[in-house]
Amino acid sequence: MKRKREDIPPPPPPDATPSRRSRVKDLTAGPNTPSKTNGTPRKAVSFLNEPSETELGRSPRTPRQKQIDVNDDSTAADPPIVRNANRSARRKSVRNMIQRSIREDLMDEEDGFEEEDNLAQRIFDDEDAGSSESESDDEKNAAAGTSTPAKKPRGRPKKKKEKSPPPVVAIEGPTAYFEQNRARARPSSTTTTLPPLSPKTYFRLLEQHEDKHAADIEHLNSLHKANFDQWVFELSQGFNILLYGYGSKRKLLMEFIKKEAALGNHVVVVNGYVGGLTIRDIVNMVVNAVVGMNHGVKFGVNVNEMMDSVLQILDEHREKDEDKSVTLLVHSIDAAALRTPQAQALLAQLSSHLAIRLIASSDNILSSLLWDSSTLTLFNFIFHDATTFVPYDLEISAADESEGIVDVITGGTAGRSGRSGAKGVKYVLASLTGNAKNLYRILIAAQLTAMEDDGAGKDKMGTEAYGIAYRTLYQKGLEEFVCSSDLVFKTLLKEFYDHQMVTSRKDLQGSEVLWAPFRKEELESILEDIMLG
Amino acid sequence: MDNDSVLNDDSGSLEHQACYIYTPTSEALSLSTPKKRRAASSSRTPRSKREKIDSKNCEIVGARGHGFPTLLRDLEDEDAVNARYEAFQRLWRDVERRTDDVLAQVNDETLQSVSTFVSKASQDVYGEKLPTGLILTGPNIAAHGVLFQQIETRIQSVDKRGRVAVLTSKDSSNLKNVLKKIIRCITEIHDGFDDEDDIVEAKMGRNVKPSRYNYDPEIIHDWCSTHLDAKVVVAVQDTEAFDPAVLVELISILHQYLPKIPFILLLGIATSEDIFYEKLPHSTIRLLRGDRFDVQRFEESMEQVFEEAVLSSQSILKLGPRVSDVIFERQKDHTRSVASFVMALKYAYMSHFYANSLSVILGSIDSEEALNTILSDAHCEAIRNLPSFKPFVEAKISMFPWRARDLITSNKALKSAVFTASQECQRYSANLAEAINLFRKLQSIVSPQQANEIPTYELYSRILWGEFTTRPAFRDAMLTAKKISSEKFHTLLTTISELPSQLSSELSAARNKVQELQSEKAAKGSTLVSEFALPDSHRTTVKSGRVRLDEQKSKMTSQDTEYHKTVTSTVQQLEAYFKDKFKPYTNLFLHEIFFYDLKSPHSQVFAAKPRPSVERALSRPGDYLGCECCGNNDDEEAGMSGSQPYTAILYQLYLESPALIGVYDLWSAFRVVSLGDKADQEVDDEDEEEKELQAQFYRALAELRYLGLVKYSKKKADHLVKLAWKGL
Repeated sequence: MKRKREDIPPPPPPDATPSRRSRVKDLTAGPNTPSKTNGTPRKAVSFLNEPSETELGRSPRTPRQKQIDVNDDSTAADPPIVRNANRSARRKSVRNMIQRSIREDLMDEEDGFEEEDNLAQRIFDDEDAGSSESESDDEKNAAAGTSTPAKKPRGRPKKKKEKSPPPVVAIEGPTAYFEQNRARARPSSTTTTLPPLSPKTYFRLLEQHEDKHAADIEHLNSLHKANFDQWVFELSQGFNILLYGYGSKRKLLMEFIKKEAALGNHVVVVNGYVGGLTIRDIVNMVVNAVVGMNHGVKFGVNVNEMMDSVLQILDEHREKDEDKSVTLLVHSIDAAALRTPQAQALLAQLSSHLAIRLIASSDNILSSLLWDSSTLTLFNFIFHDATTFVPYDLEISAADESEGIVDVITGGTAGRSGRSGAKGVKYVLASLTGNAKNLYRILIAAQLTAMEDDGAGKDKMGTEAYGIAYRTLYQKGLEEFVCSSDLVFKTLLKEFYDHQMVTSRKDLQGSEVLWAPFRKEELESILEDIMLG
Repeated sequence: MDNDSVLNDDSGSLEHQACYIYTPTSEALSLSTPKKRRAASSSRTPRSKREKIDSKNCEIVGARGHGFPTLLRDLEDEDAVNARYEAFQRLWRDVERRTDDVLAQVNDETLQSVSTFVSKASQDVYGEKLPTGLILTGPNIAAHGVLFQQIETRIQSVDKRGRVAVLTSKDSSNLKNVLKKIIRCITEIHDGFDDEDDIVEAKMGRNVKPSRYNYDPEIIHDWCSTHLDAKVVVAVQDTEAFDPAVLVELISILHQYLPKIPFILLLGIATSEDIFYEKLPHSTIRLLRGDRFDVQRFEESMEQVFEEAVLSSQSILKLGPRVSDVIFERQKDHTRSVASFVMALKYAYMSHFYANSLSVILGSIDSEEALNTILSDAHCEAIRNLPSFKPFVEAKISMFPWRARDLITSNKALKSAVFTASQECQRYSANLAEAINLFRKLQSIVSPQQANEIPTYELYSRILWGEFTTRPAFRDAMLTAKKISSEKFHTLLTTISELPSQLSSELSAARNKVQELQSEKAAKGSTLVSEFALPDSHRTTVKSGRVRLDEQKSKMTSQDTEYHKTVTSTVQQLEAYFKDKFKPYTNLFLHEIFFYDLKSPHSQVFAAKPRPSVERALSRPGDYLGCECCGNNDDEEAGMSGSQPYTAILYQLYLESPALIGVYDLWSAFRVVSLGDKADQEVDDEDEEEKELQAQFYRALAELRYLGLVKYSKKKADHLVKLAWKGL
């Protein structure tokens, strides 16, 4: 009993219920749907397909429904125990259990709750037995709400209601850490993905967008600009400057170096966010700035040796021309390319030279961890909070491809569901043997048939529901002479797993189900490719 | 906005270039100077044009080139700005020179003994063992580089005992590199050691046997054949970080070549000898023999620098109590480095002269005339607005009402008052330094343990507040001063009467008296005892104690009574003296100018707070943007609203979500918050507005990732892992 309560999903916010429509459907379909015995996975999903699709477009909840939901709570606990009790009842029970655990005092007030608890418990036990098909349904239902308790009343102040469970209080710090890391089932939508956006559209739309805070940002910027004189003074006194805070500081710094350049200093700009930048490039460029492009100075292979000779050149330069120095402007000094201790140590060494003035920006929240006390002493930083609120457009797009915005748009490496994933599959397939290709063809053909039967839209993701059993696939492979033994079959599959072209899961009976985690449209194009190739 | 277009023009394609030399456009160049003027004052355009020409002629020297602003709402004239800058330069250079001198001496003892060690080390003394000096450098790794540089110059250039190759852990990648570096250091640097002939010889030495690899220690042998008396010192700066395997090999090689080359090894150890011994095999340690050298403790060198840079009467600008608390707290808890203290002090100077227009007074305190010329009417007005001006005038009212009126109405009277006040401030500082010095001496004799525990710089702020005389540390010192034995009291008087102070005559008189009494008593074969010093340890009950006390009192001779009187009066005098000198500095007129006491720049500028800053910006964007829409009100409900920047909305949703976040969940929540009421309307996929919001969502997500708040989960598709909890 006690253990159970801990396993309960978090208090679903009052508005976390699915749309009214789906709920109604749910109830009507109740008696014969997700029963374990006859409910084929496909069927179970089918009635939920539709609401999940509409969720993309519109909010699943309205305040009016919330009212009803809450009222329902009081009546939901009626005794009739149906084995395949519908989900809404289960959800209500969950809510009741949670409400009670929050307001412990209620526990002792009524015996009726005990019974209700038992009911909820029984339902839960059934669920726990492993009905994965309804689990995925559930995730869908809960998709919009449960895992994002963001819809606190204060977000939309107008929609307050009288009888509501205690609101989710915004917790911070350690409490939040333990609360949010607690090991328990947190439903989150695994099956719905964001509709992808082509990079072109993305940039066009952002270009078009007019920031409602443009004036405020400009004002903030002007406040920073008022400090330029001070920065020049600090730099001239042998300190180096590091700017931190949210927002891209690129433009601000580019403005600033105009001032430095006007003083007759050489200015070297380093874009730390550009991938492939090395410390050698920086050192080289500093030398170029001091002695001109075609200096013909050769440096050793070892970067440390190189540094020694560079410092010597700088010494000579300073003797000749004491007032002029080299201003080194490093955008994002904490970017991936400069994150090695060696790079930072060399930068520190360089910046500690009298002829070098360093002004840099850092963005990562943990950037201070880059430096130990000795590099920090060499850097001799003056830190300024330069929160600009300017979007990091360049920084996030210019970064390493796998880190950048393009990746976010297409779903990233972990989100292998994106368009790029399907493209990658074609490359992988091109390099595989004919047998492997054929096996993959069998797999996705079976999956497509299942999807076709289901009437899935072209954007529908491949899921477990459309998968093919391991044994079935093996049998089909044998029939088509794709593989001769289980071992060969496994080897072929291994390749698919490695490239994340296939996902599998053990179903209720313990047999493995395989499917390709791509959208229907993509599957079709892959199939086409295989057939043509 | 026109600037932006310029910016884009000249760097458009450069945004994606890793690094490049910035070439300002001609427009940008010409823009910068007048723009600054325009910002400074729009009314003085004709004059600023003239200045522009001037500055072009003389390459922008002086204050303008260093960004000193015009203060006092632009009423400060150019001369005053320049005078301020010059005052800063002059005063700081003076402090810097004196601290540098102190710092140079800090390691002097160590350097001296290391140098002697190097000169004495020879095969006669150490036999087959490799002469090794263990230099216990202490934990402040930032100072090690300087120390080893000093060792190098000392041995190589000053004492000319041989060559030094300083190795750091960076060189320890493999033995070949280490040997190469040693050879390069030993054979190629020639300045200051020998005349030019040797270079040729050394080169010839290498030319004769060109077949040698550049890591062959024989090269050093060749070099040694031309430099017979020179020692070859190999110094490892950070032994702990040095690859132990390479170090073992290096030691064995040095040992093998010992008969041919007079190698000496110096090892810098930051931790302790024991840890060093544990790191190396016994067989290697057996090859070494030598000595260890301690480097001066941080506290001692810090104390010396503090006395020179802050307390010394030559330093005109002093630190106030608040700022010194900030600085020394940072020293104690974080940096523990003298260099960083000097930097903090420099920043105090910089900030004072940069932002306080009245700091110009500090530049011309020596001559009343200079002061009169530099102080303009605006300055006088500013002085009248100082917090310390009011009590100053009020104090005058009761005695000399006409002078109080003069101070308010006449600039001339004010200027002369400023001059007197500046003298007064300096006198206060001088007295303070003297009294602190006296007190420290007294404390070191009376209770040396306490004196060791609390360094002067920690007493400093309490003394400035004027509350030190009520502190237990002070009362303890005074009480124990009464109780100490007569010999000790005599030493105390001798020491402190030698210090220059207004008490010195009284103190030496007391000393003579004590000496006299002591010799009288000594003739009788006993020592002087005062009532304070009576033993009270074997007191059992109040009554018996009193009896005993009476007994002992009756035993006291006339000398003892006399001595007792002297002790009482001397300690009273001292106490009165300290109470007089340790008055709060805020009593002084113009203390705002002679004591720099702003807490905020120091506490912010020396420690970055990237995370709190980002967290605050994103959770309460109104704090930074100052806009009305983003909940600028102070109540707790200010939270999320659709009008906030998108990244801020997403961040707040992120705060509330569990450790594993579904991207889609985040998106639907994001959508609801940003659209508000509109979120419920039916939209189709191709809706432009919806798409745009999506683009914003993607960007906000990428920004959170860039800031290091989330990363993609490997466990689940389309899920994010939360990396930071607010306030944790």
